[in-house]
Amino acid sequence: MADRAVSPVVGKVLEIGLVLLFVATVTGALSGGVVPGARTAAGGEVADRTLASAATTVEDGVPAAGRVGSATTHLDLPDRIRGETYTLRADDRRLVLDHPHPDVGASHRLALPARVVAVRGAVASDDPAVVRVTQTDDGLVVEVTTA
Amino acid sequence: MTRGQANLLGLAVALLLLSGAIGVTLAVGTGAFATADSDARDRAAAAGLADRLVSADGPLTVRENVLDGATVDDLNATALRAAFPAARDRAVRVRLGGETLVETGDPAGPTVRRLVLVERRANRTLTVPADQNDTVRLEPTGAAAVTVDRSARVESLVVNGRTVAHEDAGLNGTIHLDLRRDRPTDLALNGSIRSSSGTVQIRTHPWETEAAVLEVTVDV
Amino acid sequence: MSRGQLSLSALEAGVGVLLLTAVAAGFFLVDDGADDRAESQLDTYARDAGVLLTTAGDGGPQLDRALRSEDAWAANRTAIGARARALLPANVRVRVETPRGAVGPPAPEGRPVGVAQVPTAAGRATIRVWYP
Repeated sequence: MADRAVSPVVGKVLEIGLVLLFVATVTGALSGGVVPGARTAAGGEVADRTLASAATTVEDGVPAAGRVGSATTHLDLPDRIRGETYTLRADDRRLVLDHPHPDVGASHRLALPARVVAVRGAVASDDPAVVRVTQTDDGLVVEVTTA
Repeated sequence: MTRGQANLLGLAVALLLLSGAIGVTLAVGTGAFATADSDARDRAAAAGLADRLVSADGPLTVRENVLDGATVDDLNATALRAAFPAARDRAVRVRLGGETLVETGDPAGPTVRRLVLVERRANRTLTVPADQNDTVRLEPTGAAAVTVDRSARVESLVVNGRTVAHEDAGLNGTIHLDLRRDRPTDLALNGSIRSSSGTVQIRTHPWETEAAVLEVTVDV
Repeated sequence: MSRGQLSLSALEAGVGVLLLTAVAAGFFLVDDGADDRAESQLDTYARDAGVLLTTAGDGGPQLDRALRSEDAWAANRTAIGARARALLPANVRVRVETPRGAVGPPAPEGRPVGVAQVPTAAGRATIRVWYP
């Protein structure tokens, strides 16, 4: 019996300890670096697509030449990206998605006709958003605002 | 009774295998993120610029989706950027009918295609003998110039039934007509005295249109 | 008494590896959105074709005029079909459906088809485009 390496109880305890160590290490490594990184990457993608889709909606919301009056189009925005709410705002013919996380967010320049003289407004992602185009004396004004 | 040690070794090997599998899965996942479609904004930019290029109120078009051939021939990168803010500060490629009109930078983004007609004005000269009360059918043209000599004894020009020029002694010189460009015009040369010689020269500018595909590629 | 038992841990690890392989394989089963992109481009083609068939103004066959009466449609139907095909690139099929009849092959099911509608003298005409 002298060639027994280790007693069964100690062996079992070592096994349990090894597994627990393994699980703790893997869980720590994943939640520390890999999972947040993946969430940020996915969030960045969603932000890009949301911005592109919103830009297209704004551009399509401008009525064709020759038609007068105002036009209002509904803007479809996801409530949260990467678990947080964000802001969509207009900044001198650019549409900007402001997100609390530094690596999520983008800005996109709009392709608008020369008849459009100003683009303004901002809306929070959890409010119902619309694009309102109104005719003024100088030209068309595009506004991103809540419904 | 060496089971205790063997089990521990077996466990360690098993956990190592599991670590390897986790590592491979993470690598695949990260790779998938890296190659994910990231050109949503490029596509939106290309679609927006294409809309501006073919819209009726732009500098390149005569009507919606109809481009003016002469303007398109003169298009270069500077003119494009000046006329379309959506083309500034970006790599842009615009192709028409398979030929590249403008290329700035090296855009590797998605391409948006639009159907257009390219309209070019040609110059046609028609020489018509001045037989009495002849009617000439002109193909659609926005304007025509009729050159007639007094010896042809053409006293009046009638466009689609309406008299636009009349001279009892016979018209002389070049008369410019404004016509409807979307349908053919009936031009009648009327006179009361037959002329033995004499011709009438009619210069028209008919449009020729060609269907083409406008391709716009943008890299934001 | 070293029993020839397959170590339970090895079996458990094997199951774990299988599970992770399934997760990794899942990354390759995701739809890449090509069908949506094709449909978006086809919709654009259909919309442009609708614009050019009604307002081209170059003296060619015009959809609104062709639909003014049954006789006009019967006389112009083939010309409208030819015009629609001429407007689109060679690799695209088109069908023009009007309240007075349709011209072009039937649109396929289950594949991306671009659709656009145009108002005409006889009602709404629908233009369908697809890649063969």
